[in-house]
Amino acid sequence: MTLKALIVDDEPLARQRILQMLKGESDVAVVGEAGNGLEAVKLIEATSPDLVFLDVQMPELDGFGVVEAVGVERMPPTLFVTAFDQHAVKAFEVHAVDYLLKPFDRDRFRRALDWARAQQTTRQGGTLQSLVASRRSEQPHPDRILVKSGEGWVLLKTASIQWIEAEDNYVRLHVEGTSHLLRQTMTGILERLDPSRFKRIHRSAIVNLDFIKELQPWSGGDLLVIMRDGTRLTLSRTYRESFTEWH
Amino acid sequence: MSAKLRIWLAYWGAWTLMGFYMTTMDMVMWPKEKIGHLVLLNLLQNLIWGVAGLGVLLLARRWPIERIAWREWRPLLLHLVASLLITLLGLIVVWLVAVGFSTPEYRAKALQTPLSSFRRFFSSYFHLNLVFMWAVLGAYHGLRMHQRLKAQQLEAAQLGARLAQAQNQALRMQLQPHFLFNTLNSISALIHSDPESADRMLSRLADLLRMTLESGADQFVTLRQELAFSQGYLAIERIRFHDRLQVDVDVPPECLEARVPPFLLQPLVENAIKHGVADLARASRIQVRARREGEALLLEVEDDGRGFEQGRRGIGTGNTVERLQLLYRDRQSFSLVSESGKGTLARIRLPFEAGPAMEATA
Repeated sequence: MTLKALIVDDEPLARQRILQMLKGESDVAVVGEAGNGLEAVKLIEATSPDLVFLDVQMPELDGFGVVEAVGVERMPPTLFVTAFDQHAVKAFEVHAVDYLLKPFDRDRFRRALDWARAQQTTRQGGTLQSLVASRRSEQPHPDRILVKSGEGWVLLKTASIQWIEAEDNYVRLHVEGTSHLLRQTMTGILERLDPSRFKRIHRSAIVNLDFIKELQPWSGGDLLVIMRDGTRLTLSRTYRESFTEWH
Repeated sequence: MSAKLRIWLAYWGAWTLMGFYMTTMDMVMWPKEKIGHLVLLNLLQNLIWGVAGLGVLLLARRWPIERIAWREWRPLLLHLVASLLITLLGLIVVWLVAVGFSTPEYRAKALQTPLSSFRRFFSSYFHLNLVFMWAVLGAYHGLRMHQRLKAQQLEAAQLGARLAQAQNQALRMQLQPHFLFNTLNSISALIHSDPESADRMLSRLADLLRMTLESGADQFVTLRQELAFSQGYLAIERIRFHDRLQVDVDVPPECLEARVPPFLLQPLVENAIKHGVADLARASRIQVRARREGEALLLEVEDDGRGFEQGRRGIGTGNTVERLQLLYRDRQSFSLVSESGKGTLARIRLPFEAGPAMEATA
């Protein structure tokens, strides 16, 4: 059986290095190379590889961001590659995930590849889940998140999200005149956003404080939230407490 | 406050001690006089000389003697004439007090022929007290020099510390794990695909490490040297980022020998890489420019990266600002203009000075 491999690194020479190493492995075929996180997510979807060599540090969307965007349950077996990241390395050790430290030699590469081959039979879904969760606890609020938009993907600056609306099993992110649907719960998305900026105002709404124009009294202890673009939302009494610092 | 108080206590303490000392002289001269009377008289006289000394100090503060040289004879002459006049004036007051304090017979005699009485007084006390006034003048200048020296030492120490910090920073940047390991990884890839480039990259890395380790405690290097360092660094980054990084260096030959503090450009170049290239997925461009504008040397580092929010600057630039202030005081300027999404421009203006061998002009 031939393994389909995807190589993700923002430095061309680093990708080249892995390609060189894979030349000697007859059971591995490289199906693609990605120079950034966004491309990586697209290629994982398009080529559904059996193995991903994933650089941890990349601009805009890093390796863990890629895993989150693809979804831990859909993420193929992954070999993380890093130049230097003590936190990541610690997390790999804790979760028994093999990784490659740059630069590496053939012996080390082979051992990592053997580990990756073994993952083909025992899916690492659960391991990845806890790995990403531990990573998130260190860096809880990413600057950007990747969301699916129609057939493609959009890398959103979290600060540019104006408000978020609950829609069944999804949340709708309202950003600069358009909106994006994301498979996520309200509690789930709230955890990933900076609490000093994003507040839940209703069972089905989260707002970015930067985009609020004014608050007006409404019926039954509720408040009317008027956004800068004119959108009117309700701040229900239940969530008023989180706003106390605000008035 | 307390330092000032200490100086005043020392000043008046010295006059008091001198008063007691002169009392012992008087005790030898007039053994029959009551000691208490002599002490009182001498302390009173030294109080007067102390006040006269204030006049000397006042003038010295306004017109200090910077150096003893014929060319600068004005303050010397001023203090010579002033000390003569002040001593004469002081002597008149002291004489009046002495007359007031003496026995009635002596007082009557002195007032009958005041001129000859004063002349006797003058011949015994003028020269001695003139020396005292000069001592005050000398002490003032001694203290002044001491304080200046201390300030200079402090400044030199601060400057040394800043330089050490800058060097440290440069070293950290090269040994910055990311930079170092990614560079080694690139070399590892090139060894197989392009041994010539691998060699080049390895020797660039070696150059960079050597330059950082070798850089001594020099306060200045030529712009040529400084550029060599930054270009070595940029050459490596260009191999690493390949098509994502474009570097333009525009420095006219006349600027190459200008003096700059070492590692002045490096933090700016590193910031440009960090915000301009490393954080961006698209290709970006870094420009390093220098030009001479009259008596000023203008250095610019510009990137077209994502910029940063105003009011936030790295440790690197904070250190740069402090070093420039210590070295050039108000003859320099540093500005960092950034527009979110458009890039950052760092601009340094400093006096154009040629050659690294010359001493810094203070």
